[in-house]
Amino acid sequence: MAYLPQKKWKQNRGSRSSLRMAQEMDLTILLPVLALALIGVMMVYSSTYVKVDMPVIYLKQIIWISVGLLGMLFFASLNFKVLLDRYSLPGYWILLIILAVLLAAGDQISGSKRWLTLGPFGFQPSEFAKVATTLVLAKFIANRQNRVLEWQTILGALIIAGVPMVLILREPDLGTSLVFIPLVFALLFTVGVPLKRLFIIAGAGILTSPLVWMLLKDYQRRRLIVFLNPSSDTLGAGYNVIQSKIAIGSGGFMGKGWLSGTQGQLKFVPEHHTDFIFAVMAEEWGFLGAVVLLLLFTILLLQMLRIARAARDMSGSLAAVGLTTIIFTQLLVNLSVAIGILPVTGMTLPFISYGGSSMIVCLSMLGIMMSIWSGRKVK
Amino acid sequence: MRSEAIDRRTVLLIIGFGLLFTILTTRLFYLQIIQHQHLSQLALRQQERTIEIQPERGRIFDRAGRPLALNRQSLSFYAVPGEIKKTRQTAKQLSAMLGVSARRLEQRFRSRKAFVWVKRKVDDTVAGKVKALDMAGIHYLKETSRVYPEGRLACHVLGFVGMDNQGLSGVELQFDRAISGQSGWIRISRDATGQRLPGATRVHKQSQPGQDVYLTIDKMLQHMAERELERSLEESSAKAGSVIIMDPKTGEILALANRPDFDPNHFNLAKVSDRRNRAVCDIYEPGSTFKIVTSAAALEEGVYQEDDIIDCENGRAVFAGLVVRDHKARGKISFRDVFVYSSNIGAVKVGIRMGAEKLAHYSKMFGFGKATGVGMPGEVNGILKPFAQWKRWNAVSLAFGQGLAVTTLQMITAYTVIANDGRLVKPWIVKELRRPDEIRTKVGKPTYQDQVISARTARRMRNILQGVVEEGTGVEAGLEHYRIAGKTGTAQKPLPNGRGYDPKHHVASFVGFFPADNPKYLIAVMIDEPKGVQWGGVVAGPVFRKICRQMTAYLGIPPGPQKVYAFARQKQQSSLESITGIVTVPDVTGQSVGDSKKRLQQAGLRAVCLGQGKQVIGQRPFAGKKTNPESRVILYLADSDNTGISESVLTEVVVPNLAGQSMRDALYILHAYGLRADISGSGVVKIQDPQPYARIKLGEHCALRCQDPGVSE
Repeated sequence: MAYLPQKKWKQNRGSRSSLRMAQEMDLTILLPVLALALIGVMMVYSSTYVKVDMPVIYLKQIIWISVGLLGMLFFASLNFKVLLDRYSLPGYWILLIILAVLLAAGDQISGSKRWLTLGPFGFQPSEFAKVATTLVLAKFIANRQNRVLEWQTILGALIIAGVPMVLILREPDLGTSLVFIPLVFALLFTVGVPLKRLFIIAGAGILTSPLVWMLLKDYQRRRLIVFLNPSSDTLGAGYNVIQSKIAIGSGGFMGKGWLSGTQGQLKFVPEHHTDFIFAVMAEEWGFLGAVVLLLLFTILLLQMLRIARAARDMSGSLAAVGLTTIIFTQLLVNLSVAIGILPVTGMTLPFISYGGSSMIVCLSMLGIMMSIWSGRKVK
Repeated sequence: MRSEAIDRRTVLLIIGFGLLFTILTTRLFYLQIIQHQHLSQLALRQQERTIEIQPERGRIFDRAGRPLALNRQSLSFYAVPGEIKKTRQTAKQLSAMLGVSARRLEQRFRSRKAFVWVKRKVDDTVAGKVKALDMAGIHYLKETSRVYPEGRLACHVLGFVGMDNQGLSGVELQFDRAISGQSGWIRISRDATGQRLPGATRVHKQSQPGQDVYLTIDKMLQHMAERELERSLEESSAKAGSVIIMDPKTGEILALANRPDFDPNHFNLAKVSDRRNRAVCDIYEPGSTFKIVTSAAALEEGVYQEDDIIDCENGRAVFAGLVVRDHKARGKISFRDVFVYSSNIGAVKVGIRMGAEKLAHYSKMFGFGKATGVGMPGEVNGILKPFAQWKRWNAVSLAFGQGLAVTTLQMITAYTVIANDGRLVKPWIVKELRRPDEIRTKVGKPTYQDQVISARTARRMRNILQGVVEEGTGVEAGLEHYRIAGKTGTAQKPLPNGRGYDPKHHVASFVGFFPADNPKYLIAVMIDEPKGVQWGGVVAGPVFRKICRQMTAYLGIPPGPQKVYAFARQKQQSSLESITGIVTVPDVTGQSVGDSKKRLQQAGLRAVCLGQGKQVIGQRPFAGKKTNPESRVILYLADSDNTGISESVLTEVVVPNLAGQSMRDALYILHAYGLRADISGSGVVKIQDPQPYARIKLGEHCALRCQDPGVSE
């Protein structure tokens, strides 16, 4: 089992200096992430590749990665306790206000409800809201960890996650808003809420889903319908998924080679440098490349959950689980969409997809993870 | 405690994520390994746009390489919108030259397609100009349209093609695959926006032109057949007709003509019924032409010899409840004469003595009841009941060619048995296919069936059939100086309701060949529903003879010894009358009224006298014309000096004096004069207007007032 190395690490724990362990851990997170980011740059390069007048998107991506690494460094050097206690709640409130203002008047302020423009740069506050919400949730649940079975705890957690989620859903950004659901469930599960109760909550959520349906925009509803029956609209909303599947399938075992993926190069795959970048990769690098990608993510996953278990206290563990959940929910949903087992939701592939906010936030989240790791209790 | 709970729960989280990863990997495996082929094809298909290039259709020639179907080539222009630089300007320029709306062109040019037509099949001069401009993104293809240079000639054999050059009937349809060749294509890679990719290669596959078809048809013979058929139909006002000329030794069809016909260049203007290849698609009851089966079988089986005497029961006999009549009553005549003079009763007796089963067997062996397999679309089997289903009367009617249905092609094919020393040969119409690189594929070749009758029987049959033409029902088909053999047929047509036969309408036919002793040309003539005289020998025989005469000249067949035929020619006059009852009008002009009347009476005709005098100065119809017995011949009377009627007047007629003539005689006379009648009353003519001897124009009306002879005003 993938989990086996854990035991070894347990045994060796005492014999290593904490500094060395921190560096080791940072490297085991940093190296796969750098590998993923490199893959991302290559894929962005390939999917925007034109012989003449090559756009500089891939250069921008390198800049975002650099900024993200700086952010990672910044958060890694922060004391997690301080971050959680002093900055998480104000950050959460500020982001809620930004989201609300954008939703109300984003069209006038920055031309979009999703983007906050600061000079030449645009940011997606929703990306940052995910992190702030995770931290606030972790703190809230950890504080009530002995009263987790009380309905107030669960209700409180649902509200903390629900407010930004609805604001983001109304932007509309279905993909980002959906991340909050597994986030809440993962935290409640980790803190010890029995599965039975979680199922009851989920059931209640499903029963109220008609309400969600009403909140959805027309195109979002159409996507859901098309997902249930893709061939109903091969040139419309179903087009994306079919093209993505054709791209992935035509890649075969070895792929067509970098810059040689016809589906991606010929622009049949939609949004091929953002949401559907995996299709480009799977076409050019085949099944082999896709499996390598998944292995890199697996390493990352194992390391992140190891941090969760080693955290000094419950809030650290919960924060670590939450951040892990966000990254892997995005990964799983993005890949599932690309291979046609989930409807198109608009989630980016962490560390790979083009996009400044996404890249900076993802790398910063890893910085927070490192901070949790270095603040762990050493037995 | 806390740590253990976290441990347990994170393990569960890892298991959960691991499960999801496994699902993803499985799905990837399914898409990339198992579905790989299928999805790759989908990818290719949408990345390429293939444009078909029509191949040039093969031409059709007659046996001597004379063209019957050709192609006219024209250019078709198309655009690849992604390559066009100045869309509006290009559209305007093209619009001015090609007469296509500039707006529509621009719309097409701005479309996301990789290929749009600009205009198809453009005139040569205009196309040259457009080509010369060499505009970016504007390309052309060569397309062809079909032309039949001979118009209607052999239209039913050739068939015609539709708008996309696909064969729709005739040889065009039957050999469509070979003639149409293989399409080529241009393949243009495109991206999702429909733009042609800069630098993407355009794959090109030349179309493979179709193969040329060489028919067995001889254009000149086809022409003769069609012209004589046409004339005959005009004369007899028949509904339809077919002529086939065949080489009996090889089965090659040298000509195949049908009327009505159509122009394959404008086939859509013709009635569907005119486009029927009647000679192979329509069936009729053959009548006496079928008797060759009865007689050949009887000779082959040794049931009869030529000189055996058969009692023809004086023209009427009943067999198996079926009344059989002869055209002319006869008593005891020889087996040979039964067929030479075409006695139905005699044929039935032959058939009965031989036995129904033998008759059925030989009918089948002569090819009836089964399509010949000539290779023309729509050929039918005809109708020949299997012997097991026969009732007694079937054998009776079959013996003289009724109660079965055949195509003209089947009938002529049956005669190859006689002409080809006892073996049936399969007819064919396409000699070979020739590729543009001159590689030839033989399509047809002589195909002989099993021996049906012995060569000796065939020879004896040829002898009898020669008798038919030289002294029997077929004298009208005879050509002096040539040995010709054949058989006439005058068949009744079954009523549409299937109960009995139509007394008025017949199918007149003649099938014959020459030279009789060594047949080289076999000709079948079928005339459907001639008006007036309906005898096969009289209606179809002359068509055969006229075609033969032209053929001998065209083919350079020297005439045979004259004296043999001088005898035959002498006999013709009387024999035709005796067989069919058809009368040849004798020449009585210049004779006295009394003699004339007597001679006409002997010939079985009625004299109608006009004018006064002792001498006949003219007659209608003229001498030598064939007419039905008991019909009227008008005699123009005058004394030796010409006072009455001038025959030299072509446009003017001197009105005859009709007073005292019966109404029917008067009508007949007026008709013969080329005048029309307005009649009132009934009985005999009392008053006429214009008056007798007035001069009026041909075709004008003459009013007649009639009264009963006894009544006076």
